[in-house]
Amino acid sequence: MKTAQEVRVGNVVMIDKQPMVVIKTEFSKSGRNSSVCKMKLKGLLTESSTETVFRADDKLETVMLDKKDATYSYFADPLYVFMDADYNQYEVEKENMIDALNYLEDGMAVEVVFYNEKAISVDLPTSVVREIVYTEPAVKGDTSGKVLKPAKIATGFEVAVPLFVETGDKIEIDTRTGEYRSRANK
Amino acid sequence: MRSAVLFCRVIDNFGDIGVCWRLARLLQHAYGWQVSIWVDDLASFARLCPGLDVQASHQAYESIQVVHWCDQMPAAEWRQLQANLLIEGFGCRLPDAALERIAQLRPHWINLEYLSAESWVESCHGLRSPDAQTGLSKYFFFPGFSAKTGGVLYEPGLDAERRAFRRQAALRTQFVQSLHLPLPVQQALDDPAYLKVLMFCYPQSGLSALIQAWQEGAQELLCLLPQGVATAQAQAFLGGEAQAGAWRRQGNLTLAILPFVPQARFDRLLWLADMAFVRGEDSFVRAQLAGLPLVWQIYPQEADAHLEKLEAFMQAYLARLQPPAAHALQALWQVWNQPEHYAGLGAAWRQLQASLPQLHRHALRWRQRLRRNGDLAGNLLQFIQKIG
Repeated sequence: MKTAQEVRVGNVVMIDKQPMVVIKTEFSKSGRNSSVCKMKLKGLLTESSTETVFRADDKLETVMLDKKDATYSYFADPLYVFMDADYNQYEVEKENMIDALNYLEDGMAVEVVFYNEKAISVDLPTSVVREIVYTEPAVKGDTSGKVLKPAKIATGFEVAVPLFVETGDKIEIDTRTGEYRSRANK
Repeated sequence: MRSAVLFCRVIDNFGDIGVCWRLARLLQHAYGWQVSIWVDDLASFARLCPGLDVQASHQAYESIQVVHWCDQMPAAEWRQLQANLLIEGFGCRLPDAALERIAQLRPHWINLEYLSAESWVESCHGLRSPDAQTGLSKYFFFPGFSAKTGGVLYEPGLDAERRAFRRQAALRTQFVQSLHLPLPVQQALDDPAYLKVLMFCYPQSGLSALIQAWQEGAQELLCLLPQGVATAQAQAFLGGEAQAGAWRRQGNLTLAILPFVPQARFDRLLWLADMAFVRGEDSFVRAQLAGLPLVWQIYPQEADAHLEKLEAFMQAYLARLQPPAAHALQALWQVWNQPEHYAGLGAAWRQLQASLPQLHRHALRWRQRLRRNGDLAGNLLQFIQKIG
């Protein structure tokens, strides 16, 4: 069991005795320091979608899933295809890729997640290094990192970065939050 | 018979029990349900409902069954639970024995949430919340200020009662006399030269700064302060105990301590006033339903989350109000809710005072808007019909 606030996008929870993958979570502060968590879920077996709401400390039954190391191979709409070291291919539906699409690039190492031997989603490394393809020119003088500007990576995903980061820089991104961590060495 | 059970845990003050009790009364008296309310703190409840026996585990009050609830209640007690509709006030956790019984009863199960004007509330209102332990569905029901929420609680006869109170001098006189106020305070209440302000705030407030400003103000002002509210600040001004009936006039301020009135009579205090300072949830809504200009002290939360909620309400409330009244009210609300800015309260008050007529007209329009959303209790009953 996990509390609603511990459940992450990509986790699978049992709802009405059906395994459902968490597509989206939104936390909001309710009253008296409690929180409410809205979740969008998709049935693994039925493929039906539903929206639910929980209090942050509500307990949900989570499903332990099998995982295999693989690398991204190609996209065959609507499936993303991954390959393991033994050249086995696994297909994951586009809708289940969720945030992984923000960072996906050819040959990227991921863990493919399985339920009843069916590939249902992918888990990313907690951080990735990506090159900035465009950001406004660097501003000299501000090295505090407190003021941020948008920066685009090759997938089109935008990350908020400090003012000193330039186009062409490589940065480390936390894939759990989508936030800038640091500038990686060029 | 349609039967409803409300569960309420009292965290502090009177907000939780105030809202739950008001909903219980509406369901029982306006909609004909047989209601019982399970409360874990009868002492707080008794402040709102004098005459309640704080020692009794079961009793009837205004024809509503009141049960003193504790998690260690024997399982046999929970097996007595009967309900077609079960309402958890503000996500109060129910013990396992209760959940076992709920699984047998399979009632409509509602989690009544806190009031907020934030936009996310509309998207969560009415959503299902599958309960892993019982396998049943609970539904989140949010009060709010738009038609996409559950609305706010108001009694069908409230407007007629208010009009009668305002028009019939005998009703007003009878109520004022029941407060046992000293004669000079009663005279000030009848004197149109006085601006009458009801002050219902948390113990930590900027009242002292306002007291200073009101003494030095150009207008005579009567501040009506219920006993037990902002006691320390009141005593500093009175120079003695802030007991019901105590009063003092200094400069242009007359401050009087009122007895703490039961919930059923709180509206009448509002109807005596020209404007109100209110707090939390229940008094905040009642001031809006009274059609009064109001200043809201929101319940403080960690990481200043309450300031976002204040901002969301301000945006909704001030949307159709023109400057300078909108700016003046916004400034006072912000200063009143941020202790580090209390020094600015005097200036914010003076700025607001000139806009009071405009704010009063706006408050009446806002009340109409709230009414159009329907009463929360009625909306809740429609909702459970819809979900079947």
